[in-house]
Amino acid sequence: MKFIKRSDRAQPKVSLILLDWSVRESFHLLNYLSRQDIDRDLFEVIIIEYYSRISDAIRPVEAQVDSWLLLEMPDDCYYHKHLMYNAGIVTAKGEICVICDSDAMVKEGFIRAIITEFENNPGIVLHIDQFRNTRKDFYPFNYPDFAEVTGKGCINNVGGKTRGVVDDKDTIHNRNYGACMCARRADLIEIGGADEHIDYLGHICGPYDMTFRLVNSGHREIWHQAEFMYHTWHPGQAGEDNYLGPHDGRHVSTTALDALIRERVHPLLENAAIRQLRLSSDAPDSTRFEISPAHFKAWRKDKLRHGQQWIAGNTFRKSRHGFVIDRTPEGFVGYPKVLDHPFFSKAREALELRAATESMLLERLDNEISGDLRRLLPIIGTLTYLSRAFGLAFLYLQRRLLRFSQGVA
Amino acid sequence: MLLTHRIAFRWHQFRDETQGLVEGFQSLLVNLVCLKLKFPEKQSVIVILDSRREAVMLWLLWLCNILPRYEVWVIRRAGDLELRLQRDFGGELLLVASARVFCKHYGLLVELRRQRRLIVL
Repeated sequence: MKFIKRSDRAQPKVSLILLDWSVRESFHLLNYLSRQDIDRDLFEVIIIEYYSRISDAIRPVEAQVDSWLLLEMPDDCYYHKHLMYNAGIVTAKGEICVICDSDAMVKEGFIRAIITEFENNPGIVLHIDQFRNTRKDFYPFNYPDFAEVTGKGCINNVGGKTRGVVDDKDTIHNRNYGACMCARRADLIEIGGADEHIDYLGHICGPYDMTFRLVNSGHREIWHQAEFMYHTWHPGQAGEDNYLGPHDGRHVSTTALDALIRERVHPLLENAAIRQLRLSSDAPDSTRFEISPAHFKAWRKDKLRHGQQWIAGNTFRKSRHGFVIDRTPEGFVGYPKVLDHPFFSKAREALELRAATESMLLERLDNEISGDLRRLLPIIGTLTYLSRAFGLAFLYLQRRLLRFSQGVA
Repeated sequence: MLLTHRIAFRWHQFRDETQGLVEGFQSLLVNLVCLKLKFPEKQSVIVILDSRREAVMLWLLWLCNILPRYEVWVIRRAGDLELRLQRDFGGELLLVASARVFCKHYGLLVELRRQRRLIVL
């Protein structure tokens, strides 16, 4: 781990954490940060590079970078953004940490909007959504106007706001949780920072892991209604050919969703430096950031299965047909998920099933399901597949017909 | 992206998402049956879903006498949920939300979970 540069800003209010894993071609956000309408000492910029590359893309705008840290992870390790988030949180001097895209555009009032929002609303986690434009003539990035990015080629502009902010149908998939997340550093440390569990290795990850756990700990999630980021197309932006951890089919981590459902506040795997900050009252020292030696082995590229989902089996707790399966020192225990709720937990001991091996327990759990329902489950599964296939085919044809009638090829 | 890559990408997306739906709904059914069998006194249940298809399946299961006839809310938008929650429920009611609907509208449902008996399956 090596610092190329260290921040000498005495008391910044905001720390921007920007990530790279030797892939970024442009850090044009830095140009836009140089034009902010507030005192430059109110914010600091931290660049975290996962490997050892000193990016040429940063050199022209290096004056805007306050801290530049190379994690120097071995080349045979796959990238894990949450490790970089934690490095940023430990390094940050600001009261508010901002994790955002480094290849997006922001307006002059971006930092001011963040500071104002935190001054007006205590106990929040703030997100800022992003306009996305798919025009390929903006690549390589050629500094288009904001109006051009929200104009022709923009896929989510609804009356000057992003579709995700306007639409309340499926916010978790329609909003860009990775665009910009802002939270108080103390709050992030309190929840144990970003989760370094292997489920978040590669493309399926994001600051929403921390957002969900902050919400579970009582914070209010808000989305800025007037301030946005602006993103233009570049190759590989959808994570094509990246390794994917467990997700819900639409690239939202099921491990993070599980944390939300189960009200989990702390990460499955906490960084040692974050834990030290959480438990001690000493003044934080940025040199203390630690990378667990176990990661070098667990995150090796040759252990991954490219293009396939990780079978989430690293945690002891599993779920099958609505039953929770837990490992105990004596063997395995299973019970219906509903008994997890405090309202029913008294009955849990009487209703849980135990077995020496997992296969024996699965057999016993299957027998717990009544015969009628057991026979119906595969039929319900097949009907779900068929109805979704027909529904999606109908939607696709409807869109094609609409485009055809509008004279678009 | 090559056409074959795009097709493979869409297929994986469809398969993963549908499998998640199937497993989520199976989990809901198994636990509703468990509620019916093991806690027959807890009859005041409202099931919150985000899919009409799943609501129809619950209704069919009631016709087959596998499940009691629960009140079902199909929530498509957060606004619908806000309207429904304005109702006075009484003290004993149990709300059961599918994991999917909980994740879609967690902003409202996390608050609700703090105030009422809400189970996420």
